[in-house]
Amino acid sequence: MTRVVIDPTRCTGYGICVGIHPEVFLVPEGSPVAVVIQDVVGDDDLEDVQEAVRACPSQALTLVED
Amino acid sequence: MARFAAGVVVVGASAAGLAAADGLREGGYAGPITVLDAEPEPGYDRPMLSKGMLASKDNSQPAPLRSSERLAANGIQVLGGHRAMGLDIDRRFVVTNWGEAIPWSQVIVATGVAARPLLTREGSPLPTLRTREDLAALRSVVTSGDPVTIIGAGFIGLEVAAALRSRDVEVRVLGRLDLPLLPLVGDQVAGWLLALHRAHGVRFEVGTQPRAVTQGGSGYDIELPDGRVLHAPRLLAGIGSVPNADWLIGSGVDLDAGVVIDAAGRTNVGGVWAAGDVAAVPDGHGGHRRFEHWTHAIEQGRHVGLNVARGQSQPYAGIPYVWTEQYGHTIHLVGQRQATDQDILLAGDLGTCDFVVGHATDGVLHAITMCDRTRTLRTVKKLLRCGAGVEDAAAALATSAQPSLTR
Repeated sequence: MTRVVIDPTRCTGYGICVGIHPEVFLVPEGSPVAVVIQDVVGDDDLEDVQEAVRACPSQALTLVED
Repeated sequence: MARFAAGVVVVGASAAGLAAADGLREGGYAGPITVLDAEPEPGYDRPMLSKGMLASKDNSQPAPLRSSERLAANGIQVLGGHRAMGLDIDRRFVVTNWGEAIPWSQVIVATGVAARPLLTREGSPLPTLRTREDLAALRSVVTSGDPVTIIGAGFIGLEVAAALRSRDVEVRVLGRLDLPLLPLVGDQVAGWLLALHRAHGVRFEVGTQPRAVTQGGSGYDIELPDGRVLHAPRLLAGIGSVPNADWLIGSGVDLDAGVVIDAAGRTNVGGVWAAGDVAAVPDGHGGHRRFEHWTHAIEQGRHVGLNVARGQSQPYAGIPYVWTEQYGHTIHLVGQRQATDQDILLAGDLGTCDFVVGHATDGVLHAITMCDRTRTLRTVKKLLRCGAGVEDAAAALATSAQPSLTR
């Protein structure tokens, strides 16, 4: 099972991840960081989530295999 | 050279170079990867320099893009403080400032761009914002409380203006165009942007650029074409960029506004590729142009790495994208607006800073400018990728509801 994890010490709330996959990532109103709203990454989502991992300027995202 | 086996050399360890290195591994290349960079500690979050880093009161630094653990795990050797001085395409090596000749079987040029210098009459370059050092200097200016004049109303000029206003610094902007970002976003959005800055207290002069700048004891004197001389205690120039390609002059690699590549990332020399800000592609008018934006550098850099690893030359087909943060708003620019395009409101309202504007010729969308609505970005990219028309786009955007608690 592949999950995506946000490192809150790195995340600066850019929201680039939200733009790439709004069903997986969210920056709640007033929050300084992004959160994962669907942590299990299915095959359909994997490509976009991988793009989000690459794009994050703070490099705050990691894909984890359980 | 006993120290290096001839593997793939990547010149430049910022977004594109590191993405290319990762792309090489992702594509199955198992040989040596050496990434050279002039900076001692290369590869950091550059977009943040003109955004949150400048607005924040602390001394936080932009995060590095890779940890040494991650680089070691991928067998990627990054040599900071190694500036590429020349490229030998016959004997296939990169010459560095240390006098080393680093051999390559393939080389990926990702040396990026530098801020275009604006010189005073005395020949001194004005401050710019491109590096961590520039950020430190600009932070001192903010602390001084002096008013700041920004020459240039592109992305850097506009973001710095907004960040400085959030720190209560008095800001004046001199923009060359009649409206900021006009060719990229069209009249309506550019006019909205100008009004947004003025509403936040920026003194914005459009349609002007300095004829000359002289530096005196108490700051600078800016001579304008209309004869006025503006005095500015502090100046920042944000007038575009120049490709870091001088080191390739005379190498045999074609240069025109940057390192010329085809859609796959290849230069005119076999085995020599380029990625990111430094790379230039045909502009459709007989010349070449660069794409100097973050996600492009990463995606196109990765693409070149994959091509090199797989021995392929697949064309890169990513949709151009740039985002800018000003006054708490994120403005997304997707695609490329053409000079013939009309600007059509597809959703929302410019008055509420929540809108989607399409740029189209004969109903065919070339680009979209969107304020906030980040959750709609994926839909917008899909619309452009599949060549949607204006009506289809408006319909698609009307059905993608925006819950008010998100942005």
